Amino acid sequence: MNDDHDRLHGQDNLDTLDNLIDRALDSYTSGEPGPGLTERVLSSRASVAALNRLRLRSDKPIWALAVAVALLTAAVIPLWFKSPRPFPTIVHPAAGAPQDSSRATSTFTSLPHSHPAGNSRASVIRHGVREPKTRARLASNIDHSAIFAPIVMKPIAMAPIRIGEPN
Amino acid sequence: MPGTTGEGAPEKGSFAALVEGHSRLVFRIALAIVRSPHDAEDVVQETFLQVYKGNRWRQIEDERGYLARVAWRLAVRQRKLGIREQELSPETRSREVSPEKSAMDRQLESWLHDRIDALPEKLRQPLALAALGELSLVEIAKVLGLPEGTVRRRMHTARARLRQELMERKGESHERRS
Repeated sequence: MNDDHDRLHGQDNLDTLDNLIDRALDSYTSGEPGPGLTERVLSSRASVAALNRLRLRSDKPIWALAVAVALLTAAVIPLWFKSPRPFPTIVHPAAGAPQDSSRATSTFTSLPHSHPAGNSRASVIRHGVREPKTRARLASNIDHSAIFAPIVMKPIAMAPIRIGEPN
Repeated sequence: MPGTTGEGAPEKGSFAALVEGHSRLVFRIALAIVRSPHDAEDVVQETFLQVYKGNRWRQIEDERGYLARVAWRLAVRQRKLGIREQELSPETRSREVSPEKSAMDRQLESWLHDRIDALPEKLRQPLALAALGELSLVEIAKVLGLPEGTVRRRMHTARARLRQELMERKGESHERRS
């Protein structure tokens, strides 16, 4: 009897506590937005939209300029690489230069301009050396170098293979 | 204003209609998390602006659920940042506690609010969202990105803790009286 009473009393106690918690939670989350919240949201939306429009408009010239520069670069770079490069005609003003420079020049002109070896020598000497003596020595080395020698393909003699015949 | 009809009511399917239809829910979710009306209004603005900037608001199928998720995420961030004091303004306090309540009730309710605030976030958030009475358990689970069972368990744990604290408080007051 006493147990039942305690249990009922305990249950009542729990219900009371739950009611208290529910009431506290109700007031905890109660609250309404202030007047004009929707209008404030919409006006800030409008200002964001206006800002976006303005940014897009002001960005247009920059974009156009960027595209023009990109196109120009794309057009100029292949031309730069394709254009024939002049042979070096650098003549050092110092004494003894004529002999050396003539050597260098003769080296370049000994091959046709379109020849890959000729181009290689020209570029090596143009970009590599400014001193006439060194340039002449380098040109001489290149002339005797096997790397720049023309490639000769020797024909290979091959006997036809005949199937079924003894070797 | 664009998106409104001649009479001033927002056009159906417009952004204005979306704001008007859901700003109250978004505000209440935000308030349940940040506990400050000013911060909650900031969260409402940020929520709708984010949805607008994303430019996908026309494709949203479940507007309530989507907005609730965005609002909850932003409110949690705002609360973590702790930009402002989390004290409720006197105006809000007077709104939540009716004047006819006794001073003792008010004191107890205020104490319970403090205890709810002191709960760990993972217990407090589902409890507060459920207390709004606007979201189902499924929706709360979606907002929090948790399974329903976990949400239910956390709510149960939160209530059990509050109950325990209430009992301890009652016990203490009995001891003081005797």
